[in-house]
Amino acid sequence: MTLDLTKIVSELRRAVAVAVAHAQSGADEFVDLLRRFDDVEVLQRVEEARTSWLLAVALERYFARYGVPEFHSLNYSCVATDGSIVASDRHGPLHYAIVNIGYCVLEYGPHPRARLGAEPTVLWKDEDLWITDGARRIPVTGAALAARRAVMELETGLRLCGDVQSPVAVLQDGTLIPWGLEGQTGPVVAWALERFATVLQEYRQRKIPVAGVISYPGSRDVVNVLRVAACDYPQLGRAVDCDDCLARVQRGERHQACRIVPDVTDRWLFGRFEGIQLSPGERSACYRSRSTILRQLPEEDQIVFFYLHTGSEIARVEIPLWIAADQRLLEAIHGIIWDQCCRARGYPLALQEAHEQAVVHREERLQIEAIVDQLFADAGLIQERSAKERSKRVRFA
Amino acid sequence: MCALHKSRRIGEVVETSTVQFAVECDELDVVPELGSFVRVGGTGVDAIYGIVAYAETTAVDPGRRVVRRGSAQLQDRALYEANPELRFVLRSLFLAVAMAYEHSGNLMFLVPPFPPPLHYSVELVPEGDVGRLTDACAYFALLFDFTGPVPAEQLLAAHLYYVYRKRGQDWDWLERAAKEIARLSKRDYERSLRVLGTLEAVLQRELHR
Repeated sequence: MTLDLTKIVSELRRAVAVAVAHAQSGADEFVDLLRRFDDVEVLQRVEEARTSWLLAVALERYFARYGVPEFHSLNYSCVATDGSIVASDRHGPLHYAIVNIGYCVLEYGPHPRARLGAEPTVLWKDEDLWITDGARRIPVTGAALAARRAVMELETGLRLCGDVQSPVAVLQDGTLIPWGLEGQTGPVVAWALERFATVLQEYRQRKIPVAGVISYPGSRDVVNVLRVAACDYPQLGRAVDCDDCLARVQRGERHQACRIVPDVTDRWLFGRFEGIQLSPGERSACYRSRSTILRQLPEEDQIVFFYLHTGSEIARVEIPLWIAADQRLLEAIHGIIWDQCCRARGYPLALQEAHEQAVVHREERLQIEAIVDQLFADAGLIQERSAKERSKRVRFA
Repeated sequence: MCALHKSRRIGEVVETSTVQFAVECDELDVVPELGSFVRVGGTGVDAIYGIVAYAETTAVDPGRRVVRRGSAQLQDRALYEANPELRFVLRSLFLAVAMAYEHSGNLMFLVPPFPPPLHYSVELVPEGDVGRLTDACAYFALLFDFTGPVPAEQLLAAHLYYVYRKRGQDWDWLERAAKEIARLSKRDYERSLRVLGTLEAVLQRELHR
């Protein structure tokens, strides 16, 4: 055993006690803050605020709630895609990546149909594995490869919509915001966003609603707005400025007014907090994300989100702005996701099945390696593996 | 290998051995009757005959649990229609005991020399062939000694009832079969009684219909 649990338990106990005390402190002030919440004033604060956190910009009243729309749940199609990546070992003989896009097409109505399957793609050519920036070559790994997979998931979803009955919605597992590109170099961002923007544009032009569903989200964009609402800088005639505030707090010059907001997620706010909590099937208002990466997309394709009570949890649903602006499509997305959640105990059935199709098991990954080795051997080449790789395969004590 | 009839195909071999083979059905819940004959092509032989000894419907992925989907408002066939993906995530399987093979027109009541190949098509044996397969009851010994999820006595009783009907309520054949059962279990009267007692109960019900 490498970790002595007895040595960390007492520290963990103390950390939990502090977290609980923090969550319970300021409860009355927090309730008062929500009671006084003025959408117009807060929105103005948010627009001017300088914070290091992400802030949700409401497209309507912040705490509006919408029940399950009048939607005929027995007549619609749902297309879901999900991808898995098998990246070659850096110590292996061949560089490649396999993207396996699992899909599930469900059609409900007089003639119910289902299609399930997976489409694997091997990326092995130079243009697949490298991003060229003048004389520089940047490997397509990590965030860049994940962005490529996300685009392939969207492209597959779009293609599968071709021959299904309307109304149809395409669901993706996880976020539609390419967070992984934040902090990447310019050429990587440009390379990834070009494809991403193209496929999002095609969804818009074909008027096919698409949504990313995030189960158990950890985001705090709305809670962070409450911090801005609690800030006392505007009363002092200044815009909210977190860096300045924190520096002064550290110098002991002031008390941090937003400490009354508990250290919780939006999931907790919409799931547990009385007055704000959603009932099963209800969704929150739509919010615009202030992610910097999204500013590089056309405005109508920028991603907005809402929270939905799926029957078993609060999920975050991300959609392009053009869908949020169309009441009929927004209701269709809301109704379809809710119906799908009802069919699979709180998580969209189509996504669950697409995931099952996409999964690449450990045995299959080993088989891929064995096939590569065999193909080299057939060509008369016995590939040597690195000493590190050998040490991993033949573990000895 | 003989040319098997496409329209009679019911599934394909997904596990194989000399003594038994597992078949995944083409359609969910469309499984052959317990005790009925199935046929599959082979390597080195024209066809291998088996008797259905067990069937089950489970999740395709053994790691996934099958959970309740229905309610008072949505049941049975309607439930399947409302959940079209079930036909992809569930599968029906059956197990067949290899009991004979055919080579150059000769029917041999022996376990096949080679197991049927994986992924080969399995078909129902047409009614017209049942007579030829059952004229001799020599293969009963294989069923009698078979150890599977279904008790051998129940399997034999189901098989006898199936053959009796397919041979056109052939009472003479049934008498011969009963004598063969009695001969096989002459040292175990109780066992013989379990097979014939089960069969008798089924036939009594049929006679009173």
